Amino acid sequence: MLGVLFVVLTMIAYLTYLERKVLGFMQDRLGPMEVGPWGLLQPLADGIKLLSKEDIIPSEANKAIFRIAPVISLVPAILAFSVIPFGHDSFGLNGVTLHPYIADVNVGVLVILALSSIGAYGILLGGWASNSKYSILGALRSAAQVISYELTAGMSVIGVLILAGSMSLVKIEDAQSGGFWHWYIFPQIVAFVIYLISGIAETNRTPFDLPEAESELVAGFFTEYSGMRFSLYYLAEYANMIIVSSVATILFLGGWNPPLPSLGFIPPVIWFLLKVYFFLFFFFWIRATLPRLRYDQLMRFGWKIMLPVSFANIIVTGIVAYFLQR
Amino acid sequence: MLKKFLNTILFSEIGQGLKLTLRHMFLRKVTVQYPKEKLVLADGYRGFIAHRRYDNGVERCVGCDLCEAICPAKAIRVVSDIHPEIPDRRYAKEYTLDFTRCIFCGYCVVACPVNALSMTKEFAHSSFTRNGLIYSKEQMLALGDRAGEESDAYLKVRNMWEAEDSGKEEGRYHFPPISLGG
Repeated sequence: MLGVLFVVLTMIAYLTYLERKVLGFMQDRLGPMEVGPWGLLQPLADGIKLLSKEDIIPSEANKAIFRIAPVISLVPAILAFSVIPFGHDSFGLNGVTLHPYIADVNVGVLVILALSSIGAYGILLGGWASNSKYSILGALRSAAQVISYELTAGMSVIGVLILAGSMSLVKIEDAQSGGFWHWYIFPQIVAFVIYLISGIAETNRTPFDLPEAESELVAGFFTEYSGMRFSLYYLAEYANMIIVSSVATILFLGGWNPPLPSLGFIPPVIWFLLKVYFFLFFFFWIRATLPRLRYDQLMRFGWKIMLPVSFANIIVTGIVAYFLQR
Repeated sequence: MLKKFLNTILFSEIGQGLKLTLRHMFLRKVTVQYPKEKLVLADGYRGFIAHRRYDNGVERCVGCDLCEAICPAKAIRVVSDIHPEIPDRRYAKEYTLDFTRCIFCGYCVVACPVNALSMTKEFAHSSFTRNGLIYSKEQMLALGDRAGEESDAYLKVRNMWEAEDSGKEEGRYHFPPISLGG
């Protein structure tokens, strides 16, 4: 478990570096280049900078909640990694069996959805406790956005659950083994698109990043946070991104299954990471391309368009699955 | 109608945007890593201003104050006096150009009748004090000595290099001897 934690935290830190590089390359410029060779030590430099900043707490802020809000955002995001399986077989090492997952809970999908709901509390409390106009506006918008799109994310996942017959992530991945024609993206293409859009909205990424839009709301709900507290929120956002990508991989792209059974000699972990990084690249790619949605456009899209389509998807999947099983 | 519907569900416009950004990811980048790589500046680049000399080493400036008159930012201050060595000639006893006021427009170079001023390609002259950026005549002459070819090239490109200005001291203006009375 410590191993997973260490790997995850490093991955999050270097994800910030990767984002800046990818965004830079798409904008015809190189990203960070100064700090190490090709800028590789940039996350380290960022970490040192944020740690050495003065810790300012606004005088009228609610100190206890101000302190605990970033933690409420970060901890569920990292906890969600405990139910994500990275590979296929458990392997034994000196008599200790290491599983490719920390816990094979048979309600894995529900655990992840629940934990992301708790993350929304962190945003609301952070904005409220800052006692500042921009923060409270940003927090309200962000919380509304997160809970709206969480609903559509949950609904879109139900189609996959009908097909797989179980909520455990390990079983869902097992059900997609064989070859890429078994992957759930093909029967559930609509749910895949809806899940991806909801994922982008839940993690407050462009084009849904009005709550933290630098040009509109100063920094939204994290205006008053500085130094390490800010970096906790920032890390929480990237951890959420990785969780959404991992869940998308597992539910729709077959997790650690290779696309052709003959390619099974490449370790499953590599396939899993490749797919997760593809989704993360897709997040960055979308960020580099699309402008931001206005808040009312965002809410309208979530409730009037995405939700009915996801319901239709559930109904159609249910009917087809019922008749196919007979 | 059907086309519009298909465009919506297939996200064609978003796809177009995505294709564009992906294409740009593989194009050559425009970043210049400054201290290690530098951009090539054009000959007419308006950098720091320098004083020039004739080929025999005599400074060109005759202290006429035309540059001080034309400077839009009033960055130049000239105190002129009779040249101690060369007869029938004046020079600038004190010449101060305040580079914190200078807007690098190049009017002083245009105004100078003897091509004493020119602009070099230097720009990286930071200082920790304001006085460090107020250049005296000696400093500007030193700049000119250091960046001689650049200052010549500037005048040539900007059409201020006269054909007969061969660099000889007597080439440009020949002051006839003045006799007062008698």
